[in-house]
Amino acid sequence: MPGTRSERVEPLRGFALQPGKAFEDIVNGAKLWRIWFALAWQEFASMYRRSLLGVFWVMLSFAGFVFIKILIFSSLLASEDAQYYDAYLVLGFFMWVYSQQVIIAAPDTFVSAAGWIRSEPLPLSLYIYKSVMREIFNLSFTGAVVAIALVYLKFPIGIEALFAVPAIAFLILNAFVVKLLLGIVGAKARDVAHLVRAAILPMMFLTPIFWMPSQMSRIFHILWWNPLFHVLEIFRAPILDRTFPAESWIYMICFFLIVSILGFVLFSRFRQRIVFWF
Amino acid sequence: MARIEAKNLSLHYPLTGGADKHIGIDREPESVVSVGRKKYILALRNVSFEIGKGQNVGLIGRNGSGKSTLLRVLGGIFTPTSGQVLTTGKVSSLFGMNLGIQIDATGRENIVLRGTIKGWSRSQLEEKIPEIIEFSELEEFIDLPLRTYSDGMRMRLLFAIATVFSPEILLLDEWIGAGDARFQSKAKDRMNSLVSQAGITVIASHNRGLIQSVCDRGVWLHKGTMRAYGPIDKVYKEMDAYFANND
Repeated sequence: MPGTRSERVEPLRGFALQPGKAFEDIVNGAKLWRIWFALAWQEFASMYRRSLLGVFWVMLSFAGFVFIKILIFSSLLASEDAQYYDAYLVLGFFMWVYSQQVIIAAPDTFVSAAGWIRSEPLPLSLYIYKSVMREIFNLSFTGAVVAIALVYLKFPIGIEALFAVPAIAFLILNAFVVKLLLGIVGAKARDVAHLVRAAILPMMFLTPIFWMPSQMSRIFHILWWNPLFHVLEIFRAPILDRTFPAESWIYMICFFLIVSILGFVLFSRFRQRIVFWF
Repeated sequence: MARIEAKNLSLHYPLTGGADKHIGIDREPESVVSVGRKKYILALRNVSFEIGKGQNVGLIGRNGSGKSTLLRVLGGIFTPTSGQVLTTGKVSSLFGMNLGIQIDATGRENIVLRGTIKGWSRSQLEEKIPEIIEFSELEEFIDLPLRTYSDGMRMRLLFAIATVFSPEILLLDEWIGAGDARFQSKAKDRMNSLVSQAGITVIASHNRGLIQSVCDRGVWLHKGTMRAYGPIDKVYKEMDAYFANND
C-alpha cells in the first residue's frame, strides 16, 4: 500500500530534456520489482489460461519446431557433421526465438499498457521491466528444452561454455534498451509495430540459424553487419566452438551503447508525453 | 493530512494520431493553439485552487470543459504544461471503467491484478478480497469474467477496490452513471466516511443530484478556465446564470 506522498509535479518546458527525471523513473521502476514480476507472471500464465498443459506449451512448441528442423536440415548433411549441426541449430534457434519475441513485442511495450498508464501514476519503466521479465520466463522454459536437447545429442561442452552466461545476461540488458527505444517510437508511430513484424521474417533467413557463415562466404561480409548474427554468436560460439567471440562482443557493446543512448534521450524528452499518445 | 494545492495549472493537450488534421483552427479558435506544426487543445488554463482536509469537491462543467483532464493532473497521470500540483496524502483514483482491467479475467483475478499494480502485498490482498467481494455485492459473479458484468457491476467492483484501503484522497471520474440507487447510497456513505476521517474526495460528474448530495464545494470549469470555486449551490447558481445568458 503506498504511503503518504507529497509530490511536486514540475512543468515540462519547451524541448527541455530531463535526464535526471528519466533516470529516476528507471531507478524507481526497478524498485517496484514486486509489481512487475507479478504482472509479468500473470501475463505469461494468462496466455495459457484454461489449457491442460498450461505454460508447458512454450516448451512443447519450441521442442516440436526444433525437432522438425533437425529432421529436415540434418538429413542434408553427412552424419559426422550432423551432431555439430544439430547443436548449432538448437542453440541458434533458441536465441533467435528470444530475440524475435523481444523485437516484435518492443513497439507495444507502452501501447499494451495504455490502460494502466492512463490510470495509475507509476514509473513508465515499470512496463519495460514487466515486458523484459515476461521474455525471461519464456527464455527459461525454452532454455530447459535446449539443455535437454544438448544432453540427448551428447554434445561435448567445454569450460568455455561459461562465457554464454554473461552473454545471456547482456542480451537481457539489451532487451531492456531495445524496448525502451522501440517502445517510445512505437507508441508515437504506430507503423513501427507493423514494420517490425514485416521485417522479422526476412531477417530470419539473413541470420545464420539454419546455414553457416562458411557456406555464404561470398556475401557474408555484408551479412556480418546484421546485429542478430552477433546476438547468436556471443551465446553460441562459447558452447559450440569453445571460443570467446571477441569481435561479436565488441559489436554488441557498440550496439548496446547506441541503442541505450538513443532510448535514453527519447525517454528524457518524451517520458511525460507518452500518456497523450494513446 | 490530506491536502491538494493547484497553482496556475495549464495543460496543452497535444493532438496526435491524425486528430490534428481534423480539428480546424477556425472551428474552435479559442481552444486550439498551434506551436510550429503541432496543435494543442488548451485543456486547462491557469487553474488555481486549494482543497483542504475533510472536503468533498465536485468538478462540474460541460463536456470537454477539462474536468477529466484536471482530475488526471491531480492524480499525477498528466504533467501540466505549466503550473504546479501539490498533493499530500495517499491517493486512490478511478478514472474510467475500461482502464486497467482485463475483460477476460474473472472479478477475483481483476482484484488481484489491480491490487498488484497498486502495490498491495499478498497478505493485504488476501485480507481485502473478502471485503471487496462483500462491498461490491457481486456474490457468485466474482468468479465470472468481467465481460459478463453489467456496467453497474463493473463499477461496484472497481469502486470497492479503489476505496478498500481508505485513501486520504479519492479521485473519481464519472463513476456514478452506472449503479443502482442502493449502491449509490452505499458509495455515498463510504465517501462521507472518508471525508469525515479528514480525507478529500474529488468527483467529476454531470449528475447534479449526486454532486449536490455528496459535495459541499464545487469547481466550475468552462473551456479549461475555472469560472467559480466555492460552496456547491453557489457555484451551480453562477453556472446556470451564465448559460441562461450565453447559450
